[in-house]
Amino acid sequence: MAANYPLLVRDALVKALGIDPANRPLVKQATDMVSASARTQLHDLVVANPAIIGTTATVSLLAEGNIDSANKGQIDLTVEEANRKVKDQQLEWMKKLTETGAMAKQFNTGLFTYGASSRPEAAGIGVAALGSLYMMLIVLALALPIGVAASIYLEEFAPKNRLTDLIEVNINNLAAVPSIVYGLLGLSIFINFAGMPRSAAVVGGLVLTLMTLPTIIIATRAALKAVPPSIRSAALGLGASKMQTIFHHVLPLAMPGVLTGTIIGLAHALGETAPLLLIGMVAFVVDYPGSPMDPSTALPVQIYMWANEAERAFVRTDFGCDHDPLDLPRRHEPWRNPVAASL
Amino acid sequence: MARSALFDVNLNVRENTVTALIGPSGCGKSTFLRTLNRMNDTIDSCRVTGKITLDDGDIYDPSIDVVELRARVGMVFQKPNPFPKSIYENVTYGPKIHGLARTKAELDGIVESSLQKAGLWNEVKDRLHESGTGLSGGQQQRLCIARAVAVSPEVILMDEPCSALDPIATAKVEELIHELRTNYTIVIVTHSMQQAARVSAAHRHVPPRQSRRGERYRQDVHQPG
Repeated sequence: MAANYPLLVRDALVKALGIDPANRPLVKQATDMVSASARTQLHDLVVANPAIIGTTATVSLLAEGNIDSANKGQIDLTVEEANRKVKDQQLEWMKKLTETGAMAKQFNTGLFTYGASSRPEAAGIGVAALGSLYMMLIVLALALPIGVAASIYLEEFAPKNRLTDLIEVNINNLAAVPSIVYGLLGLSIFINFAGMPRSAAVVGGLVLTLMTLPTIIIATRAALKAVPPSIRSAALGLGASKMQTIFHHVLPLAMPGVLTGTIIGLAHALGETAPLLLIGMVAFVVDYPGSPMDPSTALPVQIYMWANEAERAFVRTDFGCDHDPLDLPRRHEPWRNPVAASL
Repeated sequence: MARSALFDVNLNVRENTVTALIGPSGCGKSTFLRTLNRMNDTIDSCRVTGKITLDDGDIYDPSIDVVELRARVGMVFQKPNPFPKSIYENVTYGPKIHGLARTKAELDGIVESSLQKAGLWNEVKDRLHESGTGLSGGQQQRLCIARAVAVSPEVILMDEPCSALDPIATAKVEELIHELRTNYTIVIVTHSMQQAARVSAAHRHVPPRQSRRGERYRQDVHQPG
Protein backbone atom coordinates (compact mmCIF):
# COMPACT_ATOMS: atom_id res chain seq x y z
CA MET A 1 0.00 0.00 0.00
CA ALA A 2 2.64 2.49 -1.00
CA ALA A 3 1.26 5.94 -1.34
CA ASN A 4 2.33 9.47 -0.57
CA TYR A 5 0.67 9.67 2.80
CA PRO A 6 2.55 12.80 3.98
CA LEU A 7 1.05 14.55 0.96
CA LEU A 8 -2.44 13.91 2.32
CA VAL A 9 -1.43 15.43 5.63
CA ARG A 10 0.14 18.42 3.90
CA ASP A 11 -2.89 19.12 1.73
CA ALA A 12 -5.22 18.89 4.69
CA LEU A 13 -3.11 21.30 6.71
CA VAL A 14 -2.69 23.78 3.87
CA LYS A 15 -6.44 23.83 3.47
CA ALA A 16 -7.20 24.15 7.17
CA LEU A 17 -4.65 26.89 7.78
CA GLY A 18 -5.18 28.73 4.48
CA ILE A 19 -1.49 28.75 3.49
CA ASP A 20 -0.27 29.37 -0.03
CA PRO A 21 0.88 25.87 -1.18
CA ALA A 22 3.72 27.48 -3.12
CA ASN A 23 5.25 28.97 0.03
CA ARG A 24 7.48 26.00 0.78
CA PRO A 25 9.06 27.15 4.11
CA LEU A 26 5.64 27.95 5.52
CA VAL A 27 4.19 24.61 4.38
CA LYS A 28 7.15 22.84 5.97
CA GLN A 29 6.53 24.62 9.28
CA ALA A 30 2.90 23.52 9.12
CA THR A 31 3.63 19.88 8.33
CA ASP A 32 6.22 19.80 11.09
CA MET A 33 3.42 20.26 13.58
CA VAL A 34 2.07 16.78 12.85
CA SER A 35 3.97 13.74 14.03
CA ALA A 36 5.97 11.94 11.38
CA SER A 37 4.22 8.83 12.64
CA ALA A 38 1.14 10.09 10.75
CA ARG A 39 2.49 8.32 7.70
CA THR A 40 2.39 4.86 9.31
CA GLN A 41 -0.87 5.73 11.02
CA LEU A 42 -2.53 6.46 7.64
CA HIS A 43 -0.88 3.47 6.05
CA ASP A 44 -2.26 1.16 8.74
CA LEU A 45 -5.69 2.71 8.29
CA VAL A 46 -5.69 1.95 4.58
CA VAL A 47 -4.36 -1.58 5.07
CA ALA A 48 -7.06 -2.30 7.62
CA ASN A 49 -9.83 -0.96 5.39
CA PRO A 50 -8.89 -0.58 1.70
CA ALA A 51 -12.41 0.64 0.90
CA ILE A 52 -11.45 3.96 2.45
CA ILE A 53 -9.43 4.89 -0.68
CA GLY A 54 -11.05 7.64 -2.69
CA THR A 55 -13.30 8.76 0.18
CA THR A 56 -12.93 11.66 2.56
CA ALA A 57 -12.54 10.66 6.18
CA THR A 58 -11.82 12.50 9.40
CA VAL A 59 -8.71 11.07 11.03
CA SER A 60 -7.05 12.03 14.32
CA LEU A 61 -3.29 12.33 13.98
CA LEU A 62 -0.74 12.81 16.73
CA ALA A 63 0.83 16.22 17.14
CA GLU A 64 4.57 16.50 17.08
CA GLY A 65 6.17 16.15 20.52
CA ASN A 66 7.37 19.75 20.84
CA ILE A 67 3.99 21.12 19.77
CA ASP A 68 2.44 18.94 22.46
CA SER A 69 4.89 20.31 25.02
CA ALA A 70 4.15 23.88 23.93
CA ASN A 71 0.44 23.20 24.14
CA LYS A 72 0.90 22.01 27.72
CA GLY A 73 2.92 25.12 28.51
CA GLN A 74 6.14 23.22 29.05
CA ILE A 75 8.19 25.31 26.62
CA ASP A 76 9.60 28.62 27.71
CA LEU A 77 8.21 31.18 25.24
CA THR A 78 10.40 34.00 26.50
CA VAL A 79 13.35 32.38 24.72
CA GLU A 80 14.29 34.04 21.44
CA GLU A 81 12.42 32.45 18.52
CA ALA A 82 15.55 31.28 16.72
CA ASN A 83 16.54 29.21 19.76
CA ARG A 84 13.10 27.75 20.26
CA LYS A 85 11.82 24.48 18.82
CA VAL A 86 8.35 25.91 18.38
CA LYS A 87 8.14 28.98 16.16
CA ASP A 88 5.81 31.95 16.61
CA GLN A 89 3.94 31.08 13.41
CA GLN A 90 3.28 27.58 14.71
CA LEU A 91 2.00 28.95 18.02
CA GLU A 92 -0.39 31.14 16.09
CA TRP A 93 -1.63 28.16 14.07
CA MET A 94 -2.01 26.15 17.24
CA LYS A 95 -4.27 28.82 18.64
CA LYS A 96 -6.30 28.88 15.44
CA LEU A 97 -6.63 25.10 15.21
CA THR A 98 -7.62 24.83 18.86
CA GLU A 99 -10.33 27.44 18.34
CA THR A 100 -11.78 25.62 15.31
CA GLY A 101 -11.62 22.35 17.24
CA ALA A 102 -9.20 20.81 14.77
CA MET A 103 -6.61 20.37 17.52
CA ALA A 104 -7.54 18.95 20.89
CA LYS A 105 -5.89 17.26 23.84
CA GLN A 106 -6.59 13.56 24.07
CA PHE A 107 -5.18 10.73 26.08
CA ASN A 108 -2.60 8.98 23.90
CA THR A 109 -3.45 5.29 24.39
CA GLY A 110 -0.45 4.51 22.20
CA LEU A 111 1.62 4.82 25.38
CA PHE A 112 0.50 1.26 26.15
CA THR A 113 0.61 -0.18 22.64
CA TYR A 114 3.48 1.43 20.75
CA GLY A 115 7.07 0.30 20.72
CA ALA A 116 10.26 2.31 20.87
CA SER A 117 10.38 5.49 18.80
CA SER A 118 12.63 8.49 18.51
CA ARG A 119 9.47 10.61 18.54
CA PRO A 120 8.05 10.87 22.02
CA GLU A 121 4.46 11.08 20.77
CA ALA A 122 4.80 7.72 19.03
CA ALA A 123 6.74 5.92 21.77
CA GLY A 124 5.06 3.38 24.03
CA ILE A 125 5.68 0.53 26.43
CA GLY A 126 3.71 -2.11 24.51
CA VAL A 127 6.68 -3.86 22.95
CA ALA A 128 8.75 -3.67 26.11
CA ALA A 129 5.85 -5.06 28.16
CA LEU A 130 5.57 -8.05 25.82
CA GLY A 131 9.33 -8.63 26.12
CA SER A 132 9.05 -8.52 29.91
CA LEU A 133 6.06 -10.90 29.78
CA TYR A 134 8.01 -13.43 27.71
CA MET A 135 10.90 -13.28 30.17
CA MET A 136 8.64 -13.65 33.20
CA LEU A 137 6.94 -16.68 31.65
CA ILE A 138 10.34 -18.26 31.01
CA VAL A 139 11.50 -17.47 34.54
CA LEU A 140 8.31 -18.88 36.06
CA ALA A 141 8.38 -22.00 33.89
CA LEU A 142 12.02 -22.75 34.72
CA ALA A 143 12.86 -21.28 38.10
CA LEU A 144 9.79 -22.47 40.02
CA PRO A 145 9.98 -26.21 39.21
CA ILE A 146 13.79 -26.36 39.30
CA GLY A 147 13.94 -24.31 42.50
CA VAL A 148 11.27 -26.33 44.30
CA ALA A 149 12.74 -29.64 43.13
CA ALA A 150 16.23 -28.61 44.24
CA SER A 151 14.95 -27.51 47.65
CA ILE A 152 13.01 -30.73 48.19
CA TYR A 153 16.06 -32.77 47.30
CA LEU A 154 18.40 -30.76 49.53
CA GLU A 155 15.98 -30.56 52.42
CA GLU A 156 14.38 -34.00 52.40
CA PHE A 157 16.54 -36.48 50.54
CA ALA A 158 20.18 -35.36 50.39
CA PRO A 159 22.48 -36.76 53.06
CA LYS A 160 23.75 -34.11 55.45
CA ASN A 161 27.45 -34.07 54.74
CA ARG A 162 30.26 -31.75 53.75
CA LEU A 163 29.21 -31.69 50.11
CA THR A 164 25.64 -30.62 50.82
CA ASP A 165 26.92 -28.03 53.30
CA LEU A 166 29.12 -26.65 50.53
CA ILE A 167 26.17 -26.55 48.14
CA GLU A 168 24.07 -24.71 50.71
CA VAL A 169 26.77 -22.10 51.30
CA ASN A 170 27.15 -21.60 47.56
CA ILE A 171 23.44 -21.15 46.98
CA ASN A 172 23.35 -18.52 49.71
CA ASN A 173 26.30 -16.78 48.11
CA LEU A 174 24.70 -16.88 44.66
CA ALA A 175 21.71 -15.01 46.03
CA ALA A 176 24.05 -12.15 46.89
CA VAL A 177 25.90 -11.96 43.56
CA PRO A 178 25.38 -8.59 41.82
CA SER A 179 22.95 -8.98 38.96
CA ILE A 180 25.33 -7.55 36.36
CA VAL A 181 27.58 -10.54 36.97
CA TYR A 182 24.72 -12.80 35.89
CA GLY A 183 24.59 -10.68 32.74
CA LEU A 184 28.25 -11.45 32.07
CA LEU A 185 27.60 -15.13 32.69
CA GLY A 186 24.66 -15.11 30.30
CA LEU A 187 26.67 -13.29 27.66
CA SER A 188 29.51 -15.79 27.77
CA ILE A 189 27.44 -18.96 28.15
CA PHE A 190 24.19 -18.44 26.31
CA ILE A 191 25.33 -16.07 23.57
CA ASN A 192 29.04 -16.71 23.01
CA PHE A 193 29.13 -20.41 23.87
CA ALA A 194 25.65 -21.70 23.05
CA GLY A 195 25.19 -19.31 20.15
CA MET A 196 21.75 -18.08 21.14
CA PRO A 197 20.45 -14.89 19.54
CA ARG A 198 21.33 -11.50 20.98
CA SER A 199 18.62 -9.22 22.35
CA ALA A 200 16.24 -12.17 22.62
CA ALA A 201 13.79 -12.63 25.46
CA VAL A 202 14.78 -16.28 25.74
CA VAL A 203 18.33 -15.35 26.79
CA GLY A 204 17.00 -12.66 29.12
CA GLY A 205 14.63 -15.21 30.63
CA LEU A 206 17.43 -17.73 31.15
CA VAL A 207 19.71 -15.17 32.79
CA LEU A 208 16.92 -14.00 35.08
CA THR A 209 16.12 -17.64 35.88
CA LEU A 210 19.69 -18.14 37.11
CA MET A 211 19.37 -14.97 39.15
CA THR A 212 16.00 -15.96 40.65
CA LEU A 213 16.81 -19.59 41.46
CA PRO A 214 18.78 -18.97 44.68
CA THR A 215 16.01 -16.73 46.02
CA ILE A 216 13.39 -19.40 45.36
CA ILE A 217 15.56 -22.19 46.75
CA ILE A 218 16.31 -20.33 49.97
CA ALA A 219 12.66 -19.41 50.51
CA THR A 220 11.44 -22.92 49.70
CA ARG A 221 13.96 -24.58 52.00
CA ALA A 222 12.95 -22.28 54.83
CA ALA A 223 9.28 -23.08 54.18
CA LEU A 224 9.97 -26.83 54.13
CA LYS A 225 11.96 -26.59 57.36
CA ALA A 226 9.07 -24.77 59.02
CA VAL A 227 6.61 -27.63 58.43
CA PRO A 228 6.12 -29.26 61.86
CA PRO A 229 7.78 -32.69 62.15
CA SER A 230 4.59 -34.03 63.72
CA ILE A 231 2.90 -33.86 60.30
CA ARG A 232 5.68 -35.93 58.78
CA SER A 233 5.48 -38.54 61.57
CA ALA A 234 1.69 -38.65 61.23
CA ALA A 235 1.91 -39.39 57.51
CA LEU A 236 4.80 -41.86 57.87
CA GLY A 237 3.03 -43.56 60.78
CA LEU A 238 0.02 -44.18 58.55
CA GLY A 239 2.24 -45.93 56.05
CA ALA A 240 2.73 -43.13 53.55
CA SER A 241 5.98 -43.38 51.60
CA LYS A 242 8.48 -40.55 51.80
CA MET A 243 7.33 -39.19 48.44
CA GLN A 244 3.70 -39.32 49.50
CA THR A 245 4.51 -37.62 52.77
CA ILE A 246 6.30 -34.81 50.98
CA PHE A 247 3.88 -34.27 48.11
CA HIS A 248 0.63 -34.83 50.04
CA HIS A 249 1.47 -33.08 53.29
CA VAL A 250 4.78 -31.24 53.52
CA LEU A 251 4.72 -29.38 50.20
CA PRO A 252 1.10 -28.17 50.47
CA LEU A 253 1.88 -26.78 53.91
CA ALA A 254 5.05 -25.13 52.60
CA MET A 255 3.28 -23.71 49.54
CA PRO A 256 2.56 -20.23 50.94
CA GLY A 257 6.26 -19.82 51.71
CA VAL A 258 7.24 -21.16 48.29
CA LEU A 259 4.91 -18.72 46.56
CA THR A 260 6.18 -15.81 48.63
CA GLY A 261 9.72 -16.64 47.56
CA THR A 262 8.62 -17.01 43.95
CA ILE A 263 6.84 -13.67 43.91
CA ILE A 264 9.81 -11.90 45.49
CA GLY A 265 12.13 -13.54 42.96
CA LEU A 266 9.90 -12.70 40.00
CA ALA A 267 9.42 -9.10 41.09
CA HIS A 268 13.17 -8.81 41.47
CA ALA A 269 13.68 -10.27 37.99
CA LEU A 270 11.00 -8.04 36.45
CA GLY A 271 12.72 -4.90 37.68
CA GLU A 272 16.20 -5.98 36.70
CA THR A 273 18.04 -3.88 34.09
CA ALA A 274 21.73 -4.56 34.58
CA PRO A 275 21.97 -8.15 33.27
CA LEU A 276 19.88 -7.21 30.25
CA LEU A 277 22.35 -4.49 29.28
CA LEU A 278 24.99 -7.13 28.65
CA ILE A 279 22.93 -9.53 26.58
CA GLY A 280 21.86 -6.80 24.19
CA MET A 281 18.34 -6.20 25.33
CA VAL A 282 18.99 -2.47 25.41
CA ALA A 283 17.66 -2.35 21.89
CA PHE A 284 15.54 0.04 19.94
CA VAL A 285 12.71 -2.39 19.25
CA VAL A 286 9.82 -0.99 17.26
CA ASP A 287 7.90 -4.16 16.42
CA TYR A 288 6.30 -6.64 18.76
CA PRO A 289 8.49 -9.74 19.13
CA GLY A 290 6.65 -12.67 17.57
CA SER A 291 8.41 -15.22 19.76
CA PRO A 292 10.94 -15.22 22.62
CA MET A 293 13.65 -15.75 20.01
CA ASP A 294 12.98 -12.35 18.39
CA PRO A 295 14.74 -9.17 19.44
CA SER A 296 12.88 -7.56 22.28
CA THR A 297 13.41 -5.26 25.20
CA ALA A 298 12.09 -5.03 28.73
CA LEU A 299 10.14 -2.47 30.71
CA PRO A 300 12.94 -1.23 32.98
CA VAL A 301 15.29 -1.03 30.00
CA GLN A 302 12.72 1.03 28.07
CA ILE A 303 12.49 3.49 30.94
CA TYR A 304 16.26 3.65 31.13
CA MET A 305 16.48 4.42 27.41
CA TRP A 306 13.80 7.11 27.57
CA ALA A 307 15.67 8.77 30.36
CA ASN A 308 18.55 9.30 27.97
CA GLU A 309 16.43 11.00 25.28
CA ALA A 310 16.75 14.75 24.68
CA GLU A 311 13.12 15.54 23.82
CA ARG A 312 11.21 17.31 26.47
CA ALA A 313 8.21 15.00 26.07
CA PHE A 314 10.19 11.89 26.96
CA VAL A 315 11.51 13.39 30.12
CA ARG A 316 8.37 15.16 31.07
CA THR A 317 5.98 12.27 30.60
CA ASP A 318 8.31 9.78 32.22
CA PHE A 319 9.87 11.64 35.03
CA GLY A 320 8.17 14.94 35.51
CA CYS A 321 11.52 16.52 36.30
CA ASP A 322 11.93 20.21 35.86
CA HIS A 323 14.72 20.95 33.50
CA ASP A 324 15.25 23.25 30.56
CA PRO A 325 15.48 21.06 27.43
CA LEU A 326 16.92 23.77 25.24
CA ASP A 327 19.97 24.16 27.38
CA LEU A 328 21.46 20.97 26.00
CA PRO A 329 25.05 21.19 27.26
CA ARG A 330 23.80 21.40 30.81
CA ARG A 331 22.06 18.05 30.48
CA HIS A 332 25.42 16.41 30.71
CA GLU A 333 26.27 17.91 34.04
CA PRO A 334 24.80 15.37 36.37
CA TRP A 335 24.50 17.79 39.28
CA ARG A 336 22.22 19.94 37.19
CA ASN A 337 20.20 17.09 35.83
CA PRO A 338 18.14 15.10 38.28
CA VAL A 339 17.55 12.33 35.74
CA ALA A 340 21.20 11.71 35.05
CA ALA A 341 22.00 11.98 38.72
CA SER A 342 19.42 9.40 39.71
CA LEU A 343 20.78 6.90 37.23
CA MET B 1 29.17 -40.38 68.90
CA ALA B 2 27.26 -43.61 69.01
CA ARG B 3 25.33 -44.24 72.17
CA SER B 4 22.96 -47.08 72.75
CA ALA B 5 19.52 -46.14 74.01
CA LEU B 6 18.40 -49.67 74.65
CA PHE B 7 20.30 -52.85 75.22
CA ASP B 8 19.32 -56.47 75.56
CA VAL B 9 15.60 -56.05 75.30
CA ASN B 10 13.45 -59.11 75.13
CA LEU B 11 9.69 -58.78 75.15
CA ASN B 12 6.64 -60.70 74.04
CA VAL B 13 3.57 -58.75 73.11
CA ARG B 14 0.45 -60.86 73.24
CA GLU B 15 -2.24 -60.61 70.62
CA ASN B 16 -5.39 -58.60 71.37
CA THR B 17 -4.17 -57.34 74.70
CA VAL B 18 -3.03 -53.94 75.87
CA THR B 19 0.62 -53.96 76.82
CA ALA B 20 1.79 -50.89 78.71
CA LEU B 21 5.41 -49.79 78.97
CA ILE B 22 6.23 -47.62 81.94
CA GLY B 23 9.45 -46.12 83.17
CA PRO B 24 11.12 -42.80 83.91
CA SER B 25 11.66 -40.16 81.24
CA GLY B 26 14.53 -40.83 78.87
CA CYS B 27 14.80 -44.53 79.61
CA GLY B 28 13.98 -45.48 76.05
CA LYS B 29 10.29 -46.43 76.11
CA SER B 30 9.44 -44.35 73.05
CA THR B 31 12.56 -45.46 71.24
CA PHE B 32 11.57 -49.03 71.85
CA LEU B 33 8.02 -48.39 70.70
CA ARG B 34 9.29 -46.74 67.52
CA THR B 35 11.37 -49.79 66.65
CA LEU B 36 8.13 -51.76 66.41
CA ASN B 37 6.99 -50.04 63.22
CA ARG B 38 10.45 -48.90 62.12
CA MET B 39 9.72 -45.21 62.70
CA ASN B 40 13.35 -44.99 63.86
CA ASP B 41 14.35 -45.51 60.23
CA THR B 42 13.66 -41.82 59.67
CA ILE B 43 16.53 -40.96 62.02
CA ASP B 44 19.72 -41.25 60.00
CA SER B 45 22.02 -42.19 62.84
CA CYS B 46 19.74 -44.76 64.42
CA ARG B 47 20.74 -48.41 64.27
CA VAL B 48 18.78 -51.43 65.40
CA THR B 49 20.23 -54.90 65.89
CA GLY B 50 18.47 -58.07 66.82
CA LYS B 51 15.15 -59.37 65.70
CA ILE B 52 11.57 -58.19 65.98
CA THR B 53 8.98 -60.56 64.62
CA LEU B 54 5.36 -59.96 63.78
CA ASP B 55 3.49 -63.19 63.05
CA ASP B 56 6.85 -64.97 62.64
CA GLY B 57 8.14 -62.49 60.02
CA ASP B 58 11.19 -60.40 60.89
CA ILE B 59 10.15 -56.80 60.38
CA TYR B 60 13.78 -55.72 59.93
CA ASP B 61 14.23 -58.16 57.06
CA PRO B 62 15.46 -56.22 53.99
CA SER B 63 12.64 -57.70 51.90
CA ILE B 64 10.00 -56.12 54.14
CA ASP B 65 8.26 -53.05 52.71
CA VAL B 66 8.25 -50.43 55.46
CA VAL B 67 5.13 -48.84 54.01
CA GLU B 68 3.26 -52.14 54.29
CA LEU B 69 4.61 -52.74 57.78
CA ARG B 70 3.37 -49.35 58.95
CA ALA B 71 -0.04 -50.13 57.53
CA ARG B 72 -0.08 -53.25 59.72
CA VAL B 73 1.41 -51.50 62.74
CA GLY B 74 -0.27 -48.12 63.22
CA MET B 75 0.88 -45.40 65.54
CA VAL B 76 -0.65 -42.68 67.69
CA PHE B 77 1.68 -39.96 68.90
CA GLN B 78 2.13 -38.08 72.12
CA LYS B 79 0.74 -34.82 70.80
CA PRO B 80 -2.42 -34.94 68.72
CA ASN B 81 -1.24 -34.33 65.17
CA PRO B 82 -4.21 -34.30 62.79
CA PHE B 83 -3.45 -33.16 59.25
CA PRO B 84 -4.57 -29.58 58.62
CA LYS B 85 -7.39 -30.94 56.48
CA SER B 86 -11.00 -31.86 57.09
CA ILE B 87 -11.95 -34.57 59.58
CA TYR B 88 -13.14 -36.70 56.67
CA GLU B 89 -9.84 -36.33 54.79
CA ASN B 90 -7.88 -37.11 57.94
CA VAL B 91 -9.58 -40.47 58.27
CA THR B 92 -9.62 -41.33 54.55
CA TYR B 93 -5.99 -40.49 53.85
CA GLY B 94 -4.66 -43.86 55.04
CA PRO B 95 -7.26 -46.01 53.22
CA LYS B 96 -6.70 -43.93 50.09
CA ILE B 97 -2.94 -44.37 49.89
CA HIS B 98 -3.24 -48.07 50.63
CA GLY B 99 -6.06 -48.53 48.15
CA LEU B 100 -8.45 -49.97 50.75
CA ALA B 101 -11.54 -48.39 49.25
CA ARG B 102 -12.64 -48.11 45.66
CA THR B 103 -15.81 -46.09 45.89
CA LYS B 104 -16.95 -43.05 47.80
CA ALA B 105 -19.51 -45.22 49.60
CA GLU B 106 -16.76 -47.53 50.86
CA LEU B 107 -14.77 -44.55 52.07
CA ASP B 108 -17.81 -43.15 53.81
CA GLY B 109 -18.27 -46.53 55.49
CA ILE B 110 -14.65 -46.58 56.68
CA VAL B 111 -14.97 -43.03 58.03
CA GLU B 112 -18.11 -43.86 59.97
CA SER B 113 -16.86 -47.14 61.42
CA SER B 114 -13.44 -45.68 62.32
CA LEU B 115 -14.93 -42.65 64.00
CA GLN B 116 -17.39 -44.86 65.83
CA LYS B 117 -14.59 -47.13 67.04
CA ALA B 118 -12.77 -44.01 68.24
CA GLY B 119 -15.95 -42.84 70.00
CA LEU B 120 -15.97 -39.61 68.01
CA TRP B 121 -18.75 -40.23 65.51
CA ASN B 122 -21.58 -38.67 67.49
CA GLU B 123 -19.55 -35.55 68.16
CA VAL B 124 -18.39 -34.88 64.61
CA LYS B 125 -20.87 -36.56 62.27
CA ASP B 126 -22.40 -33.21 61.32
CA ARG B 127 -19.12 -31.49 60.62
CA LEU B 128 -17.02 -34.06 58.84
CA HIS B 129 -15.83 -31.47 56.36
CA GLU B 130 -14.57 -28.99 58.91
CA SER B 131 -10.88 -28.84 59.72
CA GLY B 132 -9.51 -31.52 62.01
CA THR B 133 -7.36 -28.95 63.76
CA GLY B 134 -10.49 -27.12 64.96
CA LEU B 135 -11.37 -29.92 67.38
CA SER B 136 -10.49 -29.93 71.06
CA GLY B 137 -7.29 -31.68 72.15
CA GLY B 138 -9.09 -34.82 73.32
CA GLN B 139 -11.16 -34.96 70.15
CA GLN B 140 -8.04 -34.46 68.06
CA GLN B 141 -6.35 -37.37 69.78
CA ARG B 142 -9.37 -39.58 69.22
CA LEU B 143 -9.35 -38.43 65.58
CA CYS B 144 -5.73 -39.57 65.37
CA ILE B 145 -6.77 -42.93 66.80
CA ALA B 146 -9.61 -43.13 64.26
CA ARG B 147 -7.11 -42.28 61.54
CA ALA B 148 -4.84 -45.12 62.71
CA VAL B 149 -7.77 -47.53 62.97
CA ALA B 150 -9.00 -46.66 59.46
CA VAL B 151 -6.19 -48.60 57.77
CA SER B 152 -7.22 -51.71 59.75
CA PRO B 153 -3.87 -52.35 61.41
CA GLU B 154 -3.14 -55.44 63.46
CA VAL B 155 -1.13 -53.55 66.06
CA ILE B 156 -1.56 -50.00 67.31
CA LEU B 157 1.36 -48.30 69.03
CA MET B 158 0.54 -45.40 71.34
CA ASP B 159 3.23 -43.09 72.60
CA GLU B 160 1.86 -41.39 75.72
CA PRO B 161 -1.42 -40.65 73.99
CA CYS B 162 -2.89 -38.88 77.01
CA SER B 163 -0.01 -36.73 78.15
CA ALA B 164 -1.36 -33.62 76.42
CA LEU B 165 -4.94 -34.12 77.55
CA ASP B 166 -7.04 -33.07 80.53
CA PRO B 167 -8.40 -35.74 82.93
CA ILE B 168 -11.83 -35.96 81.27
CA ALA B 169 -10.37 -36.38 77.78
CA THR B 170 -7.84 -38.80 79.25
CA ALA B 171 -10.63 -40.90 80.74
CA LYS B 172 -12.35 -41.04 77.36
CA VAL B 173 -9.21 -42.08 75.54
CA GLU B 174 -8.43 -44.70 78.19
CA GLU B 175 -11.90 -46.14 77.90
CA LEU B 176 -11.44 -46.25 74.17
CA ILE B 177 -8.11 -48.08 74.46
CA HIS B 178 -9.74 -50.57 76.75
CA GLU B 179 -12.47 -51.23 74.17
CA LEU B 180 -10.10 -51.40 71.21
CA ARG B 181 -8.13 -54.26 72.73
CA THR B 182 -10.72 -56.81 71.58
CA ASN B 183 -9.83 -56.15 67.95
CA TYR B 184 -6.31 -54.81 68.08
CA THR B 185 -3.02 -55.55 69.74
CA ILE B 186 -2.06 -52.37 71.53
CA VAL B 187 1.30 -51.31 72.93
CA ILE B 188 1.13 -48.13 74.95
CA VAL B 189 3.82 -46.01 76.58
CA THR B 190 2.71 -44.15 79.64
CA HIS B 191 4.06 -42.35 82.67
CA SER B 192 1.19 -43.16 84.90
CA MET B 193 1.08 -46.43 86.83
CA GLN B 194 -2.65 -45.93 87.33
CA GLN B 195 -3.19 -45.49 83.65
CA ALA B 196 -1.15 -48.57 82.91
CA ALA B 197 -3.30 -50.48 85.35
CA ARG B 198 -6.52 -49.07 83.95
CA VAL B 199 -5.89 -49.74 80.29
CA SER B 200 -3.67 -52.75 80.20
CA ALA B 201 -3.84 -56.43 80.71
CA ALA B 202 -0.10 -56.44 81.25
CA HIS B 203 2.43 -53.74 81.91
CA ARG B 204 6.17 -53.91 81.59
CA HIS B 205 8.53 -51.78 83.52
CA VAL B 206 11.38 -50.37 81.51
CA PRO B 207 14.34 -49.86 83.83
CA PRO B 208 16.30 -46.65 83.64
CA ARG B 209 19.19 -46.56 81.24
CA GLN B 210 21.90 -46.43 83.88
CA SER B 211 21.12 -49.92 85.03
CA ARG B 212 20.23 -51.38 81.71
CA ARG B 213 23.35 -53.42 81.06
CA GLY B 214 22.69 -57.07 81.57
CA GLU B 215 19.25 -56.36 82.89
CA ARG B 216 16.15 -57.53 81.13
CA TYR B 217 12.74 -56.00 80.88
CA ARG B 218 11.01 -57.28 83.94
CA GLN B 219 7.75 -58.73 82.94
CA ASP B 220 5.55 -57.62 85.79
CA VAL B 221 2.27 -58.95 84.74
CA HIS B 222 -0.53 -57.03 86.26
CA GLN B 223 -4.05 -58.29 86.01
CA PRO B 224 -6.53 -55.48 86.38
CA GLY B 225 -9.01 -56.03 89.13
